Amino acid sequence: MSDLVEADLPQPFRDALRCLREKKDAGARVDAVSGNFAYVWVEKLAKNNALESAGGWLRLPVAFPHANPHGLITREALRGASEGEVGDGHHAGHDMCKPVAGIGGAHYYSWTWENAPPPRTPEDIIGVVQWYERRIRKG
Amino acid sequence: MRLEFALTEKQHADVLDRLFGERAYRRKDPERGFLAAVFPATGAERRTLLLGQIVEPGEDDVYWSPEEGLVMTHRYYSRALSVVQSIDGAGLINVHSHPGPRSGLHPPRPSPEDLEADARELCFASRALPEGRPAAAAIVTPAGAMSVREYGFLRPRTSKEALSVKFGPKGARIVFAERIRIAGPGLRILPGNPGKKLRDLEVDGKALESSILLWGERGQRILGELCIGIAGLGGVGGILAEHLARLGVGTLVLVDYDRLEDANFNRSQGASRADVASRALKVEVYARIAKESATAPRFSVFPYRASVAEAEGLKRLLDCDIVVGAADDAFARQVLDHEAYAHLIPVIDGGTTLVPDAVSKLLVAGKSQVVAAGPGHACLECQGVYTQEEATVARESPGWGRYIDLPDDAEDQLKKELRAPSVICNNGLVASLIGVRILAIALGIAPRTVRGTQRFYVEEGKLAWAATKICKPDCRKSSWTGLGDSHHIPVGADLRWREIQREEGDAKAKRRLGRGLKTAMRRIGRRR
Repeated sequence: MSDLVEADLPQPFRDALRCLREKKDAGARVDAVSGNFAYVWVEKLAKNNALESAGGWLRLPVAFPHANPHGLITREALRGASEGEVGDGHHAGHDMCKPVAGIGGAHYYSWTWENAPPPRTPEDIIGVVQWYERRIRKG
Repeated sequence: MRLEFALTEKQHADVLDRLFGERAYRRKDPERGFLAAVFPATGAERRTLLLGQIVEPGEDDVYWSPEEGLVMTHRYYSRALSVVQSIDGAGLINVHSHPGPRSGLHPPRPSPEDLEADARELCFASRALPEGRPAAAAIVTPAGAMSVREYGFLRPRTSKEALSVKFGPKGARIVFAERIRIAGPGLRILPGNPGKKLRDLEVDGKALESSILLWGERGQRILGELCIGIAGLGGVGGILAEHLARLGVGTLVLVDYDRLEDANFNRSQGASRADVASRALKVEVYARIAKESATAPRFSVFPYRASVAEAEGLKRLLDCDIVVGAADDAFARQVLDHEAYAHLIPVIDGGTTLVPDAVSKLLVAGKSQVVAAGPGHACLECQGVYTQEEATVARESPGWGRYIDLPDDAEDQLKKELRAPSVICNNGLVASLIGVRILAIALGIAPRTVRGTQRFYVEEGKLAWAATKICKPDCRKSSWTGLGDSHHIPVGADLRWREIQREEGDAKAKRRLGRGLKTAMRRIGRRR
């Protein structure tokens, strides 16, 4: 499925994906595309101090970097730095999980990029992952 | 598909300076030239070649020889090819000067020697480029007139074909660009084909007498030559369709997917109750109104039911010289912002925000705004017309105004809140300011009003200009200028349009099913 979807995605998005694989997670893959958003699985999504890996689907716009990331989907509910559950924007079993529900997507975190400098280049994908990791740590 | 050539005002000035001005190499030579990258920009019915990066010639790379004429050396071609090959989608253009005429803008005619030499050199160059990249040649006069022609060569697949005349320079298919567009911040359209005039436009002197007094028959012909796209036919776009037709604009392209209904009738100037009753498509109603109002003798209007945020709708606008953004949607605005730079088609955006008091419902604040973007202008995003986050939210779902965390029963209330107030008088003001801006850009009248953001502050009744005239330091739009098809414009799925298509599809299927059932019942009845 991944290859089929990827070939149809716009070049800047594919450039971002290449950059993500080179610099962050060689196994990053597109598991679904729904509407204007792609669900990109990143295994090495560091939780706490990067020793554990939470893993999750970044909900990235197909128009990336000209549109902002919106939301994260995970298999398990996330736990923050203090080991309490990450409550910020958490929606278990939300509709947004549907595109990856068949492969375990069950928890939706409705995180938006509001008030942050927007991504501008495909390479900004690395900053996006770091932003997701910060949100996980913040809980 | 017709061919055009486009470049920015800055590039045009640079080309003239390189060929005739201070920066001209070998100034005693009767002709000079250079090689440059060129990008295709493809609309539905128009293909434009856009001038790209010039490959700087060395002192002896281009010279005049009494025996051979203007020579561009193999070394220079080879260097230019290696530059162009590395640029995604770029082809090669050979540009050279003619010493005259020094006045007038009639496109210079290539000599038989020009045609032969260009075909020979470009045949060799196009074989070195990846398939599908354009190869072209241009001639420029000291007055700034240009003629541009694209060369198409059959690409040999076998050694036998490689030796065949059909696949060589003599097999070249030459197509002249019909028009040259020089964009930003103003817009000039010059003829590009030496063998053909621009449309021999008549002017209806009686109908247009009052405006001809202001800009003359020449100005009127410029308007008659223009093709203007209107993206969105709400309160502003609909009024503007009629205004532009009455002004004498030659061609309009209308893009919208909505239908007329009771809820938008109060701001649908020119539409009738019968249009609402039949739920007529806005593009069809305004095409009819524009046709009835047109003053240009050979006026054409092309209505398309599509979304400008999707590839199909955008493609129609890529056939235009100027695009008006009246869609009131951050997604569409972002798409047009990209198009303005990548395809050198200026965009003029306009809209109104009116804010009533929550209790009294009386107006407490509001502003109308008109903004131009494209080469020579700051972009819509930097002028504060939309943010990337707003363009993202608009991609989420139809009418999505808030992201999440709404109680399930909030939907109806939310819809009410999302329904922005709109008044035809403010729409008329915006449409008029857009019309005036088009005149400034296309005719060069009131040059100080070409660039920037013009705002009408409703509560003060004041019309003022915002300070922003250039893009922010981190803005990348100017780096996309003239990249044409090589720049990916972030089109996508307009979810509201998809929803309407689905609903109309369902209703159609239901009607078909209903008809089928009736027929079946009749048949059964007859058998009984």
